[in-house]
Amino acid sequence: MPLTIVLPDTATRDAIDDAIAAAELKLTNLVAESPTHPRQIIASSPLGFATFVEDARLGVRYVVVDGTAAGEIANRLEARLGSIRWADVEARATSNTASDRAWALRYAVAFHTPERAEQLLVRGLHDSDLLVRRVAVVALPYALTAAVRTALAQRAKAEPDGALRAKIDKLVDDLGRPS
Amino acid sequence: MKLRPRLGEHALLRRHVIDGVERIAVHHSGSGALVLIEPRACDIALLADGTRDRDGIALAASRAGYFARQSEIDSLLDGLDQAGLLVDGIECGPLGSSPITPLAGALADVPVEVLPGYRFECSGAGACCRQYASIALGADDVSRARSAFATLPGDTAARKVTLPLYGGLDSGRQAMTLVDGDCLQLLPSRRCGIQERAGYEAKPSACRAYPATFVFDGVRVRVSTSVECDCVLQSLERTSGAPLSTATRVSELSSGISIRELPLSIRLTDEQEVERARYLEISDEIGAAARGRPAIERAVALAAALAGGASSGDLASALLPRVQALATSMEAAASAANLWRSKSDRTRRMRQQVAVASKALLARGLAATLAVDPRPEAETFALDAALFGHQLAGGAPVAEALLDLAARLLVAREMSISGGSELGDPITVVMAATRGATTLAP
Repeated sequence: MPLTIVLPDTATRDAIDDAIAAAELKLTNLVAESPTHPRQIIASSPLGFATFVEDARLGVRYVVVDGTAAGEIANRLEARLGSIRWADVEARATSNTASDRAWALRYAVAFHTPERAEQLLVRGLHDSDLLVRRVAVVALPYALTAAVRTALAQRAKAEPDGALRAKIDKLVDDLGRPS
Repeated sequence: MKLRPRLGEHALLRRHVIDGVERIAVHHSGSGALVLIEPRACDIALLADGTRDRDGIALAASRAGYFARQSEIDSLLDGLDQAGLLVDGIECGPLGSSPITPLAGALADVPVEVLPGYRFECSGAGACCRQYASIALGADDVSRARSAFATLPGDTAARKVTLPLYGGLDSGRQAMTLVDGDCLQLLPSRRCGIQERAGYEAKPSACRAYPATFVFDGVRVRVSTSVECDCVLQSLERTSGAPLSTATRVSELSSGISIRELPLSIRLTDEQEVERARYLEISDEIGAAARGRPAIERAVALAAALAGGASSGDLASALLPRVQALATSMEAAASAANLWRSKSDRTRRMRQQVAVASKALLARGLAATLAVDPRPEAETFALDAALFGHQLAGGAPVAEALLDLAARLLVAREMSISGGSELGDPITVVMAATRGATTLAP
């Protein structure tokens, strides 16, 4: 079972390179950013591999660790790089500050647990703040549950901001309208 | 930023140990720019071979066990790029003038003409192993001597003892590691370690041939001498020694030596260029002309004759701008050497002394130094050897090169008058310190 560690802002590229060395991993591949893929740094050892993802669209970094010693590797990486906890996301999702709520949406989807992110995304689509709603629209393809699809289709009719409404419409078309 | 970077052929990568610390100096052969890097960074830079982008270099570095941070690789490559040391892709640029070797079959029967009347004897003082920025080895030299190479503590392979002579790609020709400016293979006894450990035949070809210079002028190969080592001038006073070469045909020359080929057209002055055959006629004429006159005076007169006029006779005026340029360039070279070379480094000390002598000459006025001629035979020999070996042709215009040589001899004379040099004969010190300098024309 792959393990995901969502990395804090302090996990710079230098810090990631240092953590790779500390975890006794070696670079095995570097995937450049493309329209369909975020930049990825893949490092491995005989005991497992770690895929660091630098998602420029979301503005988040996370690492997915897999292999026979995934837990051990993940612990070493986390010890060097730190991590964002789900509790941090939940706490900031209910903040009075729009930037905190937007932050929570970006990081919620990085955990790769759509069922946990679903509720936050649906709530974000209906947030009173335009910034938060925009971030929700960017983030929701990462956690596309049935409930999120339905919420998105509904929001297409209710979104007051014209530009965002057009974006939602296009997204709904691209994803296919819920039956 | 280069997409697939590589050290260009103009980047001269040299491994130095400076006061016990290992550094790699990367010189730009054109601009003179210098970047000093750590050995590990050099290993990474050599992975930039023109086939890899930066990600590829990082991956290769990781595989080789050198990788630390991507930002470190970026910083290294950006620094080299800013100094103009990188090129893009694998297409190889020119390696300067490509030397030919006696193995080139077409030249096998070409006659060899050796500097007449001269016999050379090496004193074994090892100065020639301690004063050059590059000690070049051919592929054959390396394979012959590899097992006899001294290595540095921590070296895991003899491979590290040499680096590519030009750029980062291994073209076969290599440059030896230098320790405070000395060849790594030089023993404390000033003997060649390779020769001591594996015999004379294992010694690199260029070292065996030193100080001989070889030039193919289209008719024959002329063998002359550089005047950059005390033994060359000391040999004038001895009856022992041997000719610079005993070969009469190219096929008899040792394999591996480099023979420079004179270009098909030679610039006599900034305005006049002649075909090689015509130059040879002129060369014979100027070689014979004005013999008996002091070398500096003769060089200036020959330069004036090539330029189409008679010398004004005012040597000081003719040479003043050259000496000024020499003083400036040597001061810059000395300052640059002071920044990174060891205090005991012979190259650093030579540059300092030549810079000081040049300035002293300017301060005293050229006329005073021109009025005395303490070593006419040595100066004449330096000029004759250069003319015979076509050493003044093929680069800067010959007239300019003659004036440059005259200026260098005058600086050496100043050094002689003001007490000489503990580094050796002032003429050889000046010639070695200014080797490879571009034209001194202001």
